[in-house]
Order: sequence, then C-alpha cells, then structure tokens
Amino acid sequence: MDEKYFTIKNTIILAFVLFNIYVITLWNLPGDSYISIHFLDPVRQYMHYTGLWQNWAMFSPDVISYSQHIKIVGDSKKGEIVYEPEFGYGAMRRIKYFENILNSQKYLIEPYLKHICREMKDASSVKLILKRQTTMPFGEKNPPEAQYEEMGNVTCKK
Amino acid sequence: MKILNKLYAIFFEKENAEPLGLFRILVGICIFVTFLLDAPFIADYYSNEGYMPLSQIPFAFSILQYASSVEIIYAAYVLLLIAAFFLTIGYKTRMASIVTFLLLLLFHERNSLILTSGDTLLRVLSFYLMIANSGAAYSVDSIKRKLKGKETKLVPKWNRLLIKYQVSIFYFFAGFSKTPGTNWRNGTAVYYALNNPNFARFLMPWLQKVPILVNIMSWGALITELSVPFLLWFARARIIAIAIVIILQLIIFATMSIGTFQIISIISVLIFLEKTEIDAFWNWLGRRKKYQLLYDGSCEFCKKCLVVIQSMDVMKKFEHADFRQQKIPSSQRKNLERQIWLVTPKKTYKGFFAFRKMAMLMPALWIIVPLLYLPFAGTIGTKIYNYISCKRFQFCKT
Repeated sequence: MDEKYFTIKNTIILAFVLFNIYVITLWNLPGDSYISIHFLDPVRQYMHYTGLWQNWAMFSPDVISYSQHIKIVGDSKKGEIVYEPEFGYGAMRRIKYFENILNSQKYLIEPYLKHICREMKDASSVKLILKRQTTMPFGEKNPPEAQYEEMGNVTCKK
Repeated sequence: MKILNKLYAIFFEKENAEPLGLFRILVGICIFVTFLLDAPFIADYYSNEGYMPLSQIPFAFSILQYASSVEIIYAAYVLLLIAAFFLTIGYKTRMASIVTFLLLLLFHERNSLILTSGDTLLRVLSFYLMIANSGAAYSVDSIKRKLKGKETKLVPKWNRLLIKYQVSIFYFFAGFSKTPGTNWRNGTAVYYALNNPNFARFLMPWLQKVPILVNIMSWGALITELSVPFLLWFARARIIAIAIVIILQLIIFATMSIGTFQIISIISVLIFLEKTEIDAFWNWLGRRKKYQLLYDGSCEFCKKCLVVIQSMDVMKKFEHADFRQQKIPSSQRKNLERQIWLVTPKKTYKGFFAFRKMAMLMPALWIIVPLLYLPFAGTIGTKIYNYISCKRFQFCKT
C-alpha cells in the first residue's frame, strides 16, 4: 500500500463513499425495521436531493392481481367521442401515470381531464371511466367480472 | 493502521478506465434514446399546458416548477439531449455528466408520476457517472489526451465500486422484497405477471396447464435476484451471473412491456466486467480478418489521424504501416501520397472508400455509417477527402 493515498482529498472522498454506501443500504431496508425507523430520517434529504431515492420493490411483495384500463369519453353535439390516447412508448408512460394517480393522487384526474378538453375541441364535457379487471386466479377457469367506475367528469370551457 | 491501509487500497488503488468508459457510453445512449422517444409528449408531461399544471404539483425541487412554459421546457429538453450526446461520446465529459444529471433530476422532479423503474435507475446511474471520472477511456477527451502524447488515465477503484454496490443493492432488494409475497412463495407470481394486460405483451392463460413451468419460472426469477448480487463480485462466477441476468431480462423484455427497465438493468450489470473480459469480447468480434492500413508517415496530420484510428480500433482490425517504409512500386507510391489504402486479401480500398470501410469496423463510428452510404456519398465524400488530403501539410506543420 502506497502512503501517497493518505491525503486529505482521499480521506474526504472515502468519507463520502462510505456515507453513500451506508445511506443507500439504510434506504432499502424494510421500512418497519428498527434501524430504518431510528436512523433513516436524518439522511432522507440526501437521498431526495441526489435523486437516489428509488425503491427497488418491484412486483412485490406480490404481483398485482388486477389490471386497470382507462376510457375517456367526451360529450359533443355529434354524440359521444372516445378519446384514443397514444400507443407504444407514450401509452406505457400514460399507464404509469394513471397507476400512480389512481393509487394516491386522485386530485390530479381533474387537471388531466381539462388537458383532454383542450385536445378534444368538440367536446362539451369529458369523463374518465376506470375498468378494473381481476386476473383469473391460478387454478380457476372463469375470470371475475370487470368493474367500471366513473372517476371524474369535467365541463370543458370554450 | 493495517485496516486503514486495506481500506484505502480497496478504494484508491488505480484500475483501467475502460470498463467505466464503456458503461458511460451505454448509459449515455440510454438517456439520449429514452428522452428522444419522449419527444412528442414533452409539453404534455412537463409544461403548464400539459396534464400536470404547476398548481397541482406537491413540493419538489425543480426549477422547471417555476418555469414551465413550453418554450423553456423544450430549451431544457434540447440541452439535455446535447449533454447526453456529449456524455456518450465523452466530450467535456465532466461538464456533460453534471448537466445531464441535473437536467434529468429537474425533469424527473417536475413530473415523477410518469416515471418507470428504468427511468429512475438511469438517474441513479447518471449520478454515479457524474462523480466518477467516466471520461478517462473510450472518449473524445481520452483521444485528445493521446494526441498530446499523454498516457491513458487510470481511475481510482471507488469510481466503479460505488456503482457496483448500488447495482448489487438494487438486485438484492428487488428479490428480498418479494420473499414475503404469497404468489412468490407458492410459485405462481409469474403466471399473474404474464396474464396482466397492463404488463404482458400477450396473455398466456395456458400457463395454468403447466404449473411446474410456472413454479420454475417464479422461483428461478426470485433465486436469480437474490443470488446475482453476490455472484457478480466473484471473478469465477461473474460471467455466468451476467449471462443469467441478460437471459432473464431478455425473456422479461420479450414477454412484458414495462418500459426500458430490462435494457437498463442489463447495462447496469455490465459495470462488473473487467478490462480482460471486454478485450476478449472485442477480440472475438474482430477475430475474422485483419486489414493493412497504408498511410503517409511523413505527414504529421496523418500520424495524428492514426492515433485517433488506433483509439477507436477496439477490435484491433488494423495493422498499420508507413508506405514510405514498404517496398511498393513507384506507380502506386504516387497514389499513396494522395490517399490512404486499406488492403484486404480481395480488394484494396482507397481514400474516402477506405475511410468508409474503416468506419464499418470501428463501433464508435457505426452511427455515421448510414450517412456514408447515402446516394452520392461516394462522390461528395471523395471531394471532401481529396480537399483534406491536399491541405494536410497545412493542418499540422511537419
């Protein structure tokens, strides 16, 4: 081992590297563990401002056993218009967006529908219908019936 | 003191920068392509005219929260693409990596609800590229250093260690968080994933008839996620672990549509590759035949071009020789004074056509190869080549 490594710069780097390792380990421990409860709070801001806050609990603890489909319908003088969102890569993002807002941020449905109003120029009002379908349980033959729910409705200002 | 010595050695011993350089290129390409795919929807996702207006955003630290007009969003977007491009090619790498990370963070904070795990993994990796010396190899910066006669830079081991640890953590906890799950324990989780229209590319209800296969796939995925983070650290198991990850992620990519996560997680484990393994890969790619490159050794500009070619010739395809030192008939010498030759057993490529052939054999230039084969590219390319060739003694004084 070369003594030239013992510099102030390297010591600061080492402190940072060890701190980073400590924090990302802590961040990923189960949230209800003693260590997380008592040691995570002081370093939470570090994870946030460095953008390292991702939680890697994907498809866990269980794979979601239902699917959600969004249908957006506008009312116009010509009758009902079904809004067709983009397909492919854009659709994947939209699915993610709805997964998030339907889970915890339902207040974002209204601004989304107002945005759709701007895109559907003929529509006087727009509503969002959620179709929720449970995946056919393993070992069973008949899929459960889908459930429909109107999640939001806005009048379009012209 | 001994422990301290060991600790410093683990983090500060120098290692070859090529694995980190290759990793930087792959992450840079991913950031660039991901944002390019988002191009039609940028205003929808991030501007005030999109579906998440400023008034609705919970606290986040993003200046895009205060400046959300379409023009500013597009300006930041273009800047991010430029920075990601520079990061990929390794031009002003440190600055490019800082700008790329900060803009990624600003966009992600402005609307985090559209992000998939692949996006956040990219952001995390770009943070580590920013603090590491990621431009020390496979970069324009490193070629510039070579042109100045400086040696290739080595980088301290902590540069890669931090990324390796982060990747191990993400794989391990992806598996660990599944262990309490009923579906994962009874081995039916993959059935539910492959029969959910939100994820599956095509539904597979027939899996009900082969429960053994469902069990093997579910437990196989779980065991992989739990074991790979450890196997990756052992030299003997590393390549097998990387191969397992690639196969698993490609199967998921073929059957499920969950964004770019599979591609990015494959890239993330490549940080564990060592230089010897990377060299072995390039040698395998370029194993077939070698080409002789004849150049003018009396011209400084040609010699500098040769340094650039050598830097980009990762497959070691070219054996170069100064034509003035070779026994060549005088009739051919005159031609060689005007243009380089690329000699193959069947054909000799000259001037622009030699350059075009070389571009095909150097991965760093693959991106421009389609341009070189456009109609009239041969005519225009030859004119440009001849102009540069005539002026080459003025570019660098001998």
